[in-house]
Amino acid sequence: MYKYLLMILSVLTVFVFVSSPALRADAKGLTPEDRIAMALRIKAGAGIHVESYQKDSNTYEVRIEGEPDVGPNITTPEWLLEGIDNGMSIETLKRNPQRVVGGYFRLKKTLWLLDDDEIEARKKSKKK
Amino acid sequence: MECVYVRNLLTFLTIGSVYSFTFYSLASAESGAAAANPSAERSVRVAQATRPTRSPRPKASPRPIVAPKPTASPAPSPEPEPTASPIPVISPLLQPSPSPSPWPEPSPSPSPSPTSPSSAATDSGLSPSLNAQTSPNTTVSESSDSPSFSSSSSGDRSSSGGSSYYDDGPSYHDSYGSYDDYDDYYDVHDPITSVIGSGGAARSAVSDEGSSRKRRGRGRVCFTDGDSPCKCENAGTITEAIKEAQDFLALCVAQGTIRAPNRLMAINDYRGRRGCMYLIDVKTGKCEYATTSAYGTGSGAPPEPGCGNGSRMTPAGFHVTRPHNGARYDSSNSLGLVGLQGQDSVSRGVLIHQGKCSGGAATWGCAGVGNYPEVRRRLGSQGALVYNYFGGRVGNCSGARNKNSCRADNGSTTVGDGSYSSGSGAGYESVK
Repeated sequence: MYKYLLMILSVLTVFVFVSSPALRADAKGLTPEDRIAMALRIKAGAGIHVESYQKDSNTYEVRIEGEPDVGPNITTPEWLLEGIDNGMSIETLKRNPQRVVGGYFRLKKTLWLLDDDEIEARKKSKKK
Repeated sequence: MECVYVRNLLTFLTIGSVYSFTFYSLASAESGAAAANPSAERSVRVAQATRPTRSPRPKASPRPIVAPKPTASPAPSPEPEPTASPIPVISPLLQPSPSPSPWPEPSPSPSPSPTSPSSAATDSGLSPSLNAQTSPNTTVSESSDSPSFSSSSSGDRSSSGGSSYYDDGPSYHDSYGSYDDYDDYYDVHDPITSVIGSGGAARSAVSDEGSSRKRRGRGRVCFTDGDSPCKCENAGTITEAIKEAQDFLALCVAQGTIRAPNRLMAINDYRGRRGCMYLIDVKTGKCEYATTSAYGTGSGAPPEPGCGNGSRMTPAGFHVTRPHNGARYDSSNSLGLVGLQGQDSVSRGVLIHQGKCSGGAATWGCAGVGNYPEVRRRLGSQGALVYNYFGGRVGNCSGARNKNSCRADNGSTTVGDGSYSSGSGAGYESVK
């Protein structure tokens, strides 16, 4: 019986390890919790204007409705689509990145933001 | 034999349920619902603080590809550091009272007041952290059409406000009130390792090389107080600004705009490329704390002041702090700034928050300070005068030239102790 119990515990331990935040952190070591703590996100429900698209870093700059001078707010195309959740596919956006520029969206989910170092890293990786 | 299998099955189900419930509930922090709910966010942070440090993970969701971050240290200032000079007591209105001060003298290495919190904030939709962060004696009261804050006094720590600033000696807001919950939130007992949210991982991200611990992200504090490129010894260069601020504060009190000012005021020195924030005792004019203060990217470098929505420039002149509750920054990580000279900073969302360590152009008009938790702890949650000083330049903030009128943005009349009517500035606390 203990043999079975040990086996079950092993499986569960592996499951717990896989689902732990240690493995949910991105390459920089930031989990969503870190981003929340560092104010690198715009809460769901906020209205945003997509101001511009930066080709060199493949990012979008957004402005928060009612807080025009809170920023910089820079996000990735993937996160932008995740936040606005309007059914647009990432392939569509990649084909025409300017498609959402100038648009106003009400966030259905949290919009995660990049910090300066991440933006720089994206620029460098794009150059390569 | 069957009995053994049934027992095994039951054990499996029981343990599996407990594990699944516990860890799936923690993992659900990534959901937008958690992000939208401050109390949920906080529980996530608390849970995070108990977790082990992380290792790189396989890519599961769309995330930016980023290279390992170098441990960048703030660039040394090209500007020569002026020598220290004592700051004289300037305004006769703000002379130290001959009677012993009822407040504890702040120490260089600050520790929270032993007073227990007695926050009586009603259920107003504020986050639990705000309820605890609001001044210990603050009561959020009912207001028909505008936010209203009132403070009740207790003991010797503050008087009942009003003009007692003049009549009965000081009646400042006590910036050193008890923020037990706040301390727990920010870990302000150890400013060296203070991290906004102080998650275990974020804590570990702070480099631990000697006493010079540099931050590695926007949410981290920049440096130990000793390592800050902005030092109180340099406050002698802003003597004129201190005098102006003291006089303007006296005017605001006389006009009833600020009824019970905080013991400390902040002066952002934006005369050079590196912005510095000095926290000044309003009575003695003595600097008690200094840190870097980033300014708006629209201001350029060295910065030029500017007002106007979307300008991304830092507004010149006097402001007063109040809680902010916006889509990105809220009362847990920022202080809102209300313009007192017609800057209209409320509608812009001009704030004090954690910023880049360099003190350069990095925000869209906010003051991005090098050690926000410490600034917040010393300034309190509201009612502190903030002076964005550009050496006499005001740019298009023409109202900042007028130092004879103290009027808060959006028709605000009173800030601090007493009824507080502000406009419906976007992003500001809506107290019900």
